[in-house]
Amino acid sequence: MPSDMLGGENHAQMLSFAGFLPETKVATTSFASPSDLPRSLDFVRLTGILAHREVSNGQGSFELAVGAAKKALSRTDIEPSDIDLVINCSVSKMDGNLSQHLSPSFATLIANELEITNAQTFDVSNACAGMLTGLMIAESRINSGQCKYALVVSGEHITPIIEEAKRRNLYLHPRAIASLTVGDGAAAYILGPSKEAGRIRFSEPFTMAQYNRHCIGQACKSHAGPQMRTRAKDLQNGIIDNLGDFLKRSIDYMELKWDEIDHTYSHPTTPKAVKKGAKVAVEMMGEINFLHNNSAETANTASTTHGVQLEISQNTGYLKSDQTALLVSFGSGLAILAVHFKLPTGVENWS
Amino acid sequence: MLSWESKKIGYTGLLKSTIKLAKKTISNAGIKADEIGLIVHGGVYREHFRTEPAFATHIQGDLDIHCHGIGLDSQSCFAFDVTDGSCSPHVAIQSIADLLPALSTNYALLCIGDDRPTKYCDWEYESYCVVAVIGLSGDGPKCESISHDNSNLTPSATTTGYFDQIIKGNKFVKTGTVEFLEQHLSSNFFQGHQNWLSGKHMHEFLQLINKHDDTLEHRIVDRSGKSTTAKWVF
Repeated sequence: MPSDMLGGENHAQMLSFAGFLPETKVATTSFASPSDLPRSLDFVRLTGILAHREVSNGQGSFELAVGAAKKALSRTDIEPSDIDLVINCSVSKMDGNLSQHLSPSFATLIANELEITNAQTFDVSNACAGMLTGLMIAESRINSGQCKYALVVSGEHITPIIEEAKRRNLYLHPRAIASLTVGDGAAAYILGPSKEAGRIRFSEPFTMAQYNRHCIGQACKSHAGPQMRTRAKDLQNGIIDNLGDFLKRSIDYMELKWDEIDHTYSHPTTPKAVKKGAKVAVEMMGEINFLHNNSAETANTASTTHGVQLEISQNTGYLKSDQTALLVSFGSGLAILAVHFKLPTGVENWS
Repeated sequence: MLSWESKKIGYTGLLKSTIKLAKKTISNAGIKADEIGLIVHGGVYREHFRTEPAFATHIQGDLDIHCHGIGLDSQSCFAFDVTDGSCSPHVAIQSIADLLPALSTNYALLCIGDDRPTKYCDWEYESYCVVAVIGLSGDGPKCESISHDNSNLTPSATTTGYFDQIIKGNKFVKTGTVEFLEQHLSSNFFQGHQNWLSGKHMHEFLQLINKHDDTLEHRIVDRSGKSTTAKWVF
């Protein structure tokens, strides 16, 4: 189907979302106890992460992404054949054998698996901010009339970086310590048309590229699988120093009222970091109605964190139709952007 | 597309080449670097199979475009990557067309290219670096539409990075057998060879621009069989 580059006036909405976690749960103390770490660091107290999930035999980014996409699809009344845009945002694209998928796009293979036959498919890569970047593109396509239904999906199999970090002497490689904060997981969102304007709004997106070498993920040079090196404190300071003005500016830009936002989600590098960010937000904007800081048992699942947290909130019964949610995203680079949307109709009834 | 530059590069050095071409391209467009508010990079292969951050953030950083904190009225730039095999250039152009109108800027930087990931990788490709300034208005070639066709997709024709335990190094492997389509050029249609990388597809297309004064359809067929077609009006 030809896509005119600039189209007419339509509106988009969030039809469904899903978070999908592998079953195996790993306690943080099983691999990062004080005796494992420099200066007997109490990692659980430092981060607030109690556990994370890991893939089982045969699972990888692909299987997780497909699981999330199926769940999101089952929560709508549209068929796979109705989807005309699939964007994958996985950072890892890693299979169970630690091979990294390169080409064609991961989205192409996911669409093929789901029997989505008519969609344009491609991948967006913007680290942990990838899914919000993908959502922004999908919303724009729906608004311009180039597409009707879009699936934005990601599966992250990133826990091999924990093994990589553990192989290192962490006294000598302190930048590997942040690798211990991750977990595997997946998320998917389905966007569709709406007659109502403003059901989904985006902030201005920022990349503060002065931080573009503070978190690097790439193939490990001496073993199979990936590695990550992070200047965690400097990166966190970069976020904290800019978060207040970002929120003030974004709320104005999206024409929102802070005290009317029902649910707020931040990118949970760690639960402790979210608390620090919340303090800045409260000082600049006022009290937060409901901050969902619920990654203590899932850890940082990279691009999929918001979807995973939304799923936990939905399962707990916190989310109701037409309430509003604000997702604030940070990604290596350093990308910062936010999305505000009305929760899908019937969200409280999803199984 | 207000201005563009392309250049063949060696096995590596994509970032250095991109920065050099970007400075020239931005100057030729008659704008300043800090007027760029969006950078999108398209490609498949990165040095050491890097997955984060986006390559485009390195371009933004090395061009020093709005590398400052966020203020209540500061200017901004947003950078990210897209990929879909050799079709990546068309996805990148389309992503710019999607987002640029909503941003508080009139100009975006399109960057295309690939690096040989490691010295262990067999590299049969000619690597090209392509940079273009895209504007919301202007007299340059206009990309009127981009269509896609997945009907000839062979899902088993993939490329995957892996660690070779024998040589103790990272390589990539291609699966599936592909009978490559040759390049095809007629009066208003150009299709590159199916085994070209993204940069070469765009480089060869750009060589044809000055020879046309009406329209040109540019089709890229990826190794997997899927294709995209961009219709350009001059």
